[in-house]
Amino acid sequence: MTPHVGVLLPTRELAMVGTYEMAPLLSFAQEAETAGYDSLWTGDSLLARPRLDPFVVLSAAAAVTSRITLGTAALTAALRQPVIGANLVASLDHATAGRLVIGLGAGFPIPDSAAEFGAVGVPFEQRVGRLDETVRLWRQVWSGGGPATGTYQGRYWQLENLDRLPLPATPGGPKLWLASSDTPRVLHRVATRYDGWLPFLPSAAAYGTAWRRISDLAEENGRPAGQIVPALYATVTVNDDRERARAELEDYLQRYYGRPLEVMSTVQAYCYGTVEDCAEWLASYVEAGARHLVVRIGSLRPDLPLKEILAAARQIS
Amino acid sequence: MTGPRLGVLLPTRERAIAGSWDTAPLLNFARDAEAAGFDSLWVGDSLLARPRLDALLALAMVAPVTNRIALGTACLVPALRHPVIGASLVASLHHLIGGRLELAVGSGFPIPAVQAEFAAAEVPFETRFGRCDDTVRLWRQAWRSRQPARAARAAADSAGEASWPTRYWPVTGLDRLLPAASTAGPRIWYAGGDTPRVVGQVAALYDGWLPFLPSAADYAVGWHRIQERSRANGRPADAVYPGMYATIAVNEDPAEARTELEEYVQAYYGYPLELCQTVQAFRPGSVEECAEFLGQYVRAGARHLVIRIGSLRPSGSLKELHDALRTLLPDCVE
Repeated sequence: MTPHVGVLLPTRELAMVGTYEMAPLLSFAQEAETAGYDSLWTGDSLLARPRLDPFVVLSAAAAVTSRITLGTAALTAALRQPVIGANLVASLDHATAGRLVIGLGAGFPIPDSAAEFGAVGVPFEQRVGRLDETVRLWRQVWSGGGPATGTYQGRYWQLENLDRLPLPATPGGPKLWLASSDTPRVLHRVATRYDGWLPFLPSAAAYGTAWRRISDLAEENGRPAGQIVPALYATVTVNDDRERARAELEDYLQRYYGRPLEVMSTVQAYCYGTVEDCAEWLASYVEAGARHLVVRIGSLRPDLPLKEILAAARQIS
Repeated sequence: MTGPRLGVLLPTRERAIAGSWDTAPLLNFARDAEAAGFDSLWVGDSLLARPRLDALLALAMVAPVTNRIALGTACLVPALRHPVIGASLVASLHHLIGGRLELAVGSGFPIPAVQAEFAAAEVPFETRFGRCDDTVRLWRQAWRSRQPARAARAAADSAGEASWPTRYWPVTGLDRLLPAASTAGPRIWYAGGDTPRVVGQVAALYDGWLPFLPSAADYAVGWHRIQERSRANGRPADAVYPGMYATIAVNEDPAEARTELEEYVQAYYGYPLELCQTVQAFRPGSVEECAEFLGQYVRAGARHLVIRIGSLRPSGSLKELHDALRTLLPDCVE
């Protein structure tokens, strides 16, 4: 089974090398579409790892592309008040003419992320609950049920008149994926509430186990097979010379996170090597069930190897 | 001697009223406005009161399909969004749009629908004025803080904004926010009338004034006061740019023009034209009559006219409107 293949727009990478220009990102978006990628993604961070705002980037990218799916990987939804978020997502869904997937994350438990929540006055310890409730609120509002669905009563929010919010282009709203790990709680949330699962698990075996569990739980909860998309967020560095690939990835991680591969690879999926090495590694996740590969190119080179990465992913069959 | 700059509203709200949210016609409108020779293109902002596409995302959409035309908000209600969220969106837009970006901001109009909108966004309505001004201060502080510390302090002192705006948001770490495309950030206008509070704030804090005053005589007085106060604050003579937001419905038949405008205002606001005319500048009529009306504001000091086409079924092209207004409008006063 051929997976869908997506690629991250290098918003954070450009920020790291000191440029916030939009033009290279829009060129990248057009090149990715022309090269044949299925999807294009952008991350979200206000203070922890600042970059161009995902809503602005994707709106602009939508205007210069026509086919490719546009998504967030991931949006930290709880940083935004849910009514503001609903309006942004609905507007972006129109700007993309329904080509939108929203990958959602709760926020990584590190001090930088906690500070980011502090800056917008949102209690960090409520981030998971607020994310799930944001999703509940959005779905209620987007159900388009008229005034009856305009009043929201939840734990964190009790709001009225929400039926006046613009509805998204997609009936019921864009697909909402959970970008998270494989804890029992996460698997249950994916199986019961989300349209997709976007982990960055470093082990394909663990991916396979978790995906089977999600499928079982989804079935138990009466959700039809195929309703949840199993995706993977993977960082890949391609070079014909394996050692050079490794050095390039190390440099990338040091500058992105200030941590070495040895540490980062315990929590996130990383691969470096030749096109064949990377193809084989990605294939192990596809065998474990992954159907949408979201590839972050682990490189700070200005000329990112879009074609080589796609070639690696396309070798999987 | 030159005529005023001419801007036109992108019909995001009008499309929403028609129930059609496809964005392709908006992109075409933007291209047409640029080709017609307009200097600027503007979008309004509302969540629930008068729903439409998000203002900032609408500008992000049209930016890549235009080259020259200025893109602005008329107006953005910053208080609806947490200032850190707003800062991220605005700074990103500034990178996308650069010097073409103009932000007119407003505090929110005191009607029940806008109050409900603030309630849904969980912002106390009675604090809207302070939150608008302080959001702008916070944004500028964040953008300036990306300068070397000493230069930032000097800039803050000279602008009289050395104090951190902590009334509403105990924010720290602003120096880590996305920088704007320049340390000054985009120009920020205030969309408000001629009350002493507005005059004082525009003269102290803002780069432009964008009222929709129904009387050109009031405009002249308000603009005179703003200039006086701005000078008294030690700001340069050209620190505040005088704009004017006006709605026109162009039709050679005066009765039809009025009917079109009445329908438009009722659909847009849910209030009759007769009532809205007491607070906002509206003019139905032939293009000559509309130009004569707009010309009064130009003679009163306005240098940038932001024109909203007050019809749900406008006839005539943007090019015709633009060319006619350029020909008919008087030069700006020196």
